[in-house]
Amino acid sequence: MTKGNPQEYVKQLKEEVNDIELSDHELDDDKHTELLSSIGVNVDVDKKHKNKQVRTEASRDVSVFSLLGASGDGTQKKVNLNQLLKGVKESANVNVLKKQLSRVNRPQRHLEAPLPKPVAERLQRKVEYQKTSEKLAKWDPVVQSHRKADHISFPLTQPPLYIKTVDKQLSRKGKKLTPLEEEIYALLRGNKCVERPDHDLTLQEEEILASVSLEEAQERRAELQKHRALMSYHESKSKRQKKIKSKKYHRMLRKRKMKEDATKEDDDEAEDAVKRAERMRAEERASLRHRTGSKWARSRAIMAKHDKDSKELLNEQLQKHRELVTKPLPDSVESDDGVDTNVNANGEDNLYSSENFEIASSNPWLRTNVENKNGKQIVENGGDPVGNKETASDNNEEHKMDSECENESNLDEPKQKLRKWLSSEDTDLDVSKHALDISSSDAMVKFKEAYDKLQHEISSEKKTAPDRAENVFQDLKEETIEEDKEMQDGLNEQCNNAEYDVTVRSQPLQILSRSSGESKSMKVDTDATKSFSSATKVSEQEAEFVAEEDLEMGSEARQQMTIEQAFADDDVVAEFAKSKREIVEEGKPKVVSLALPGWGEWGGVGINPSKRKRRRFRVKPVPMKPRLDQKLGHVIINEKRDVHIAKHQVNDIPFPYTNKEQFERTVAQPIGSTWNTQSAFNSFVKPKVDTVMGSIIPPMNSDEALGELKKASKWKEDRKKLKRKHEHKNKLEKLKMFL
Amino acid sequence: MKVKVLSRNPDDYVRETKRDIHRVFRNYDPALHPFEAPREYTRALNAVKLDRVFAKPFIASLDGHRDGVCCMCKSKQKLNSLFSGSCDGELRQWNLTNRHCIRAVQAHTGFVRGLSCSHDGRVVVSVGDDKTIKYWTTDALSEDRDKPINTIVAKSLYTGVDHHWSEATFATCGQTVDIWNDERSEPVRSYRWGTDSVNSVRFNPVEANLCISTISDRSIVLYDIRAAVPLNKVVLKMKSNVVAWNPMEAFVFTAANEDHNLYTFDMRNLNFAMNVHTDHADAVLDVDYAPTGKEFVSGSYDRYLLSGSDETNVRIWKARASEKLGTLTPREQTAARYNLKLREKFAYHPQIKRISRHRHVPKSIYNTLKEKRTMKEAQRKKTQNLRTHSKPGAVPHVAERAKHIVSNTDANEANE
Repeated sequence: MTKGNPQEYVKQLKEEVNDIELSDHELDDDKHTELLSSIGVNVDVDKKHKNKQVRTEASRDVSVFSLLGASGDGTQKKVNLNQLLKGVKESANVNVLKKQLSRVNRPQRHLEAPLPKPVAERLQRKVEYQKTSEKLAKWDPVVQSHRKADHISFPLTQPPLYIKTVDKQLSRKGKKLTPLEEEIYALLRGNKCVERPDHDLTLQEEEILASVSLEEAQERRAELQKHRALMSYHESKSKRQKKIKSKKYHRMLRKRKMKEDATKEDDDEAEDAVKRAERMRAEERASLRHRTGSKWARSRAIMAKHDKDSKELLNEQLQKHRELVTKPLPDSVESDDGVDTNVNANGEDNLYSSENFEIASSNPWLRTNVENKNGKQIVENGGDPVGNKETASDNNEEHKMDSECENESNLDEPKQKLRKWLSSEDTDLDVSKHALDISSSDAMVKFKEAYDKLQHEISSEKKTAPDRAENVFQDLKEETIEEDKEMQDGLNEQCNNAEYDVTVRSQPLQILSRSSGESKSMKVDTDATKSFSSATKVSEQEAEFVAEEDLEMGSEARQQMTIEQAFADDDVVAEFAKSKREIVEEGKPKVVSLALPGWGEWGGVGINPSKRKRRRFRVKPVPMKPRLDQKLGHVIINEKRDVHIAKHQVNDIPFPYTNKEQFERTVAQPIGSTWNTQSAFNSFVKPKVDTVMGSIIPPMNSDEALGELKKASKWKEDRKKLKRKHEHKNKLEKLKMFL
Repeated sequence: MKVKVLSRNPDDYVRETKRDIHRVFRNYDPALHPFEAPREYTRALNAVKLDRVFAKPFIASLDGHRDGVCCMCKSKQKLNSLFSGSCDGELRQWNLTNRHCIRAVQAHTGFVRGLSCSHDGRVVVSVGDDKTIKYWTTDALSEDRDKPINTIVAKSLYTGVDHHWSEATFATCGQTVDIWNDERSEPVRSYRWGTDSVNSVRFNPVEANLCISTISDRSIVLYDIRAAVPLNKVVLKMKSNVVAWNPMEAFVFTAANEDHNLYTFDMRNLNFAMNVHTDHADAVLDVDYAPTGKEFVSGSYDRYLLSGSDETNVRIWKARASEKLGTLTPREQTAARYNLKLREKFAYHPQIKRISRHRHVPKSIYNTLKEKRTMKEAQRKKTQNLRTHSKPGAVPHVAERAKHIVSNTDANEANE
């Protein structure tokens, strides 16, 4: 019974122990505690119990306060009815009793007290607000797409336009048709001429289309067109003729008509007429009848001076001759001639062009024209050395300064070369590595590191041994070119070799750099600015020396050094000085030589104007005002700034743009139709929001919005499909190419 | 030898009729046009100047009211129909096309406080100082046009009314926000949060069951008419007069505030205004969105951007002052579009910015604005000085968009 509930078991044990205590007090305490602990009872609690009041004998007046729990104090739980039942011996009624008790002991289901109204409302509000906020999220994509859209036209959904046909109206349900309507409907029902809602053409039209072929139809159409044109021409002509008031004209017209009718009546006659005309022509050509050689003609010619009529007569006769002799030429003759001439022309053209070409290549004058730009450059170069000398003589001091600078740049050269070469080398290696072996990556890294070191060292010792560095560098370059070639065979081996080579070669350099480092660090104290520039290229070895000497230097110098270290990578002072020098140089007026080649002497390719001439046409610059920043060491004042233009210029980069170039590019891109094609212009000036005049723009509708989204997604899918198709096609084409 | 001659097809360059424009042939090679950008800049400058020259926004005045116009509403189904209520209780219907008053009714004794047109455009509801709600037909030709269709005598005074956008339901505001149905003479539901009176109420045009109201205790409250309680509340530093919903973005509204600013909110995040619109010289009295949801118009005592009503007149203004009215020829249209784009493109250039912002305003407004600017600058300087001379972090940077918001309900409840 008690096995299921250990607490109760313990409780019972305690009771038993208490009983024992009462009987024999003399029991040893230690043993007692041992016993208790073996059972698992807390000894401290039991000690307290000792002092508690215990009822030992029955008495009449029982204090209410001493009636506590089963153990006699408030710490224990109250006695359960179940516990009491344990003592009852098994009987038929016990089980029923137990069931009833368990029902009583079940946890009670009662309603909790309602929350105070404000609290409840607050909760309700919170829930409702959250719900609506979540619901509103469905609008997000629509709103975003509208905000981002380049162009929106309102109203968002324009109602579809359709025409209500009689057919549709008649077929409406629920209403009785009038007899007339019924009749009309019956007529329309099976008719082939009735327009159908979902087709462009009626049945009849389709049938006609099916029956006639396209060519036939076109022919017929052309014929009809021609006929119509003729009709209209005739109509207009007769109208015009009708308007003419002259009686004589009409008489003549009538006669001509009669003649035409007559000729039409008799075709044989017409044929005869043609034959007669041919004969007459032949006779005319054979004889001199209508020429000026006859006696009558000659006399007329004499008389013509005095008499107008005779002259006219003579002219008439000549005209008659011309008319008789002339014969209408058929078209074919003309076209033949044309072909001939064309051929000729082409031949000539070719000749001309080829000659031209030859002339262009052989004629030095023309060549100079062709190579105009090059010539100019040559002239400039020719002029330069003299000019250089001149300037050198003018300001010797500055030249010296420059030479120093140049030295520096010269020193930089090998470094740059190395860098360039290294980068190219790197890429080469990378590519080949990828192709051949990936395992060589470790070797590659080492290889690179070694080169980097070498690069550092070369830069550090450039002042003492630039030539040597260059030599070494060139050796290396040659070496590695060879390596590159061999790389094709086996990369791994080669990489190792290279590494070995580099390490071997770098040893003497290290020694050199050590010495140079010493000399440099000594300079630090003497010249601050120089050290600043030199400190940028301090190698690792140098750094050690510097650290040693750092202790000896004062705090100021140390600070200087920290600044130098901070700006180790960018040489600010020297850079600024250099840029200022450049600007000053640029602003200085220059000597211009206006000597033109070929004037007063021979000119052409390879011939420069003579020295005398160059000196003669040299324009000396007018001395300018001293620059505003001449005496200000670390200031550059821009003297080119125009206040009037600055008024129109933007000072800060406006919001959507992140850098200057971006903004400048957008401003430089014109949108006007002067510089763009019409279609591009139209797309540029299309307004963001377009509204249809006179239409109500209803607020957004959820169905429409959802539909729009669906459409958009469908469009995307279609595009994807197209893309896939396109890719597939491309692949196929490539395959074909290979095959 | 044959001489070759350049020949052109006359169809390419001869005009078809005398009225045609001469065709101009262009070479678009950018190398041939080195001065594109400066030329376009000049064009932009001209465009912006012309824009100011032709800025004549006033179209017409609807004259007829004998007292100040208190409220207006436009029909949701007709473009040319407008209703206005005046301080002497008169309700007028206007035809905007020919600018005539179609009818005038003495609707209330005292002010007409609010007007609203139903979603189907058949009924106009007016509330007045006489504690009545009256239904009017919009049909100016019907027989009972001088009598209200229905009159409801309310218990308290109403200050505004607005219609649901898709149902025959409307909301009034006063002591409480009441939701009314056409079939009942009692409010279907009423909301109250706090003790102060409600100034205005507006329904959301997209999510039609949401509505919003401004309360005299400086707060803006959101409601869902299906729920038993209001949704949320945001308290600004000063009272908001009116709120307008964006008709294209369901969760965006703009509040016209007494502190001369307008605040645009996303109703899901009330701790932070989406945008603050400044430049009024006095309290902003009214705000309404364009149906495209891209622009809104606001009115104030300073009549600076006013587009509604004042004194005894209702005035019609152009939204774009320099726009030409009536149909445009295609060439005019393209030119206008090009000019607009140029102004947009060069908007950041100082001269163009200056000219486009220039307005001839009454002296008092000009001076007030200037004064405001000075005050703002002084304030900014002061905070800057404070910040520099105090412990770092003691004077925190507060975004302008969060500065004017006193509290949101969530924050309030945390304090309680």
